[in-house]
Order: sequence, then C-alpha cells, then structure tokens
Amino acid sequence: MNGDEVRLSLPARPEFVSVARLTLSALAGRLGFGVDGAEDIKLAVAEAMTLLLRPKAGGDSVSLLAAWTDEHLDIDLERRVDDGGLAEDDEEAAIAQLVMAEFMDEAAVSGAPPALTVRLRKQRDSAGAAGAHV
Amino acid sequence: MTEHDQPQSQSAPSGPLPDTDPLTERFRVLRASGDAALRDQLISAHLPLVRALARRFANRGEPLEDLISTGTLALIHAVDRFDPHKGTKFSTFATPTIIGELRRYFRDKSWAMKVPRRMQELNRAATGAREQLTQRLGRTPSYVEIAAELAVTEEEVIEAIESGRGYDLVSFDALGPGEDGPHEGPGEEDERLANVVRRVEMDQAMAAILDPREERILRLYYFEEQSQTDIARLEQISQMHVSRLLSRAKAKLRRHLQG
Repeated sequence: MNGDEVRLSLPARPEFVSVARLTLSALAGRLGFGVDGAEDIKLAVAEAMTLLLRPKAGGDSVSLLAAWTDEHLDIDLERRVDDGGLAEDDEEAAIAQLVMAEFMDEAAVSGAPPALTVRLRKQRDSAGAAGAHV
Repeated sequence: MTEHDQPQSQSAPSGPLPDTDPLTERFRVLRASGDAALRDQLISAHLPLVRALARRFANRGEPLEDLISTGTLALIHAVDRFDPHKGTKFSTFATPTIIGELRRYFRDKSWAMKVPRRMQELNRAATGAREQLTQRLGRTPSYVEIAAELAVTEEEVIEAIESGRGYDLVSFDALGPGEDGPHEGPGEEDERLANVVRRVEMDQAMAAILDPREERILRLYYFEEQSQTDIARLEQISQMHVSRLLSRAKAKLRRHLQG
C-alpha cells in the first residue's frame, strides 16, 4: 500500500547498526524482496549507518525513514553533523559509497550542513524481489 | 527528513586526479615497464581493501578465508586491467570488481537457496541452546549468550528465531479465508479445539465400554455419516436392530461420560 512508512530513531552508536539491519530485513521480507534483495538492503543500510557514524562531532541519533511504492523502496538516513560531515579524503567513506551503489539501484550521500544524509533506493521488481506486494 | 523523489546515483569520489597522485603514478610506471615486483607491491598494498570488502559478506556462512581468496583474485584482475590514464582512483575501479566477484561466488554456491535451510538449522540449534543454557544458568539466556554458545552473531540468532515463527504472522483479528466475522481472540474458547478434546474423550470411552459391534456402528453412523439402512446392509442386520444398538450405545456412553 502506498503511503505507508517505517520510521526509526537510533542512537548514533555502532551497536545499533544491527537494529537497523534487522528492521530492514523484516521490512524487505514483508515487501516481497527475496533473500538476495533483502541481503543487499541490509548490507547497504549497515554501510549507510556506519558512514553516518564517522563524523566525530554530530547528533546523538540517526533517523531512518523507509517508504515504499509499488515500484521501489526508499530509505533515507540522516544525522545532524556539526562540521559539514565527511572529509574529502576519507577513503573509508569513499568505499562505503561505492559499496552502497553496488547493492542498491540508487545511492546518494549529501554532506550539506547541518545534516549528513544517505538516500538509498531499491527497485521492488529488481533481482531478488518476489512475492506479494504490500 | 522528507521522503525523497529522485535520489541521484552516487558517483563516488572519482573525479579527475592530479597528475602527482603517487598511486596513479606507480600504475603508470607499471603499465610502461611491466615490472613484476611493482605489480606485487600494488597488489599487496590493496589487500586491506579486499579484507574490508570480504568482511561485509562474512555473516553468510562461508569461510572468510575463501572470501578473501576470491576477492584477491578479483584484485589481481583489477590491477592488471586498471588504466591510470582515465583519471579515476584505483579503489573506485577495483571496489565494484571485487564486490562483483564476491557476489558471483555466492551465486555460484546457490547461497540464496540455502538460506532458508540454514535458518531452519540455526533455529533448531538456538532452541536447543536456549534449553541447555536455561538449565545451566538457572534463568532464560539472552540472545548474546545463545549467540556465544553457537558461535554466531546475535543478529543471526534473532533472525533465525524470528524466521521460526513463520514469515507471515497475522493479526489475531485478521479474517481467514471464507470467514466473514471477527476471529476469536486470545482467551476465548476455541470451538475446534474443544471438539478435538471431546473427540479424544469419546474415543477413549467408546473403546472402554462398547462392544466391538456397538463401537463400529456408532462410528459408521456419526463419524462416517452412513445411514441406518446402509449400516444394516453392512452388518447384515435389520435397520430396526441398528437403531436399537445405536440407542443402547449412546446411553452407555452418556452414562460413562456423565459419571
């Protein structure tokens, strides 16, 4: 059903990455993604969370919004940052972005202050998606 | 945060590099000279990238060493194919290559098809570990303790236990196929379950107090919905006799169950 969404506010700490993964795993299953698709989403969300935790100075929480249509699942993750976000030469962050782009159909990172944002999109009819649509 | 409309594909940090980039320069030297030692150095220098990418697949039940081997082969391939004159960083070129090879590794092993079975096995193992730990600790164990017992991650334990509950949990209030009214909720008597209990009691009583012919006739009449005429033909007695036997059997049962 269009218009539904799932929202989370997670403490900006590494031990809560798995909470985001598990939530998205359950949602991906509910939306009809197959094992491969669900695993792609989990991996990309973990990558996004880890990326958002890289800036030392920033908000204490990460907000996550998952919304979907019949065509795709969108996942937005955001954290307030004090200094604009990621360093230009942050090699780990660069790799994280490449990884997310590999596992999702679209992946964008925006470091415009005061927030660092990751936006992910996965097509629901892409490989790994099957079954009933919600 | 608002729902986005059109996220742009991340183009990664792949803009043109300055000519002075030392890594790119080393690749230029390699291309020009074919120096085997330099090639080995460049491969070794990027093994941490392979390990970092392989670790992202580490919770899928395959040995990390195998993943690193697969990734390393992809890295070697990337080192040999990378064109330093195209203006992209080597890691930008190599990362998709290595990830692609790791994904192919799992596809070749039909990983996705094995996941449900692995989850079932882990679910059974978690159930067993929970019982053992409950006895050993004198309390219900945590997910962390079950995960430590099974040498898997806490997340895997949670997923396995959840998968054991079934993928399609439904509300107590959800209507089943063909149902047009509210489903009975928890705490209310389940009429079907009550029927089962009554049936078990009836079976025990019939076997205990009826003679074989009375039991047979009662079963044919009530459980197999045969008519008295059909039963009479089967038993080679009159329909009136069947009627009397049924009445006698019911009276015996009633006395037994009420007593």
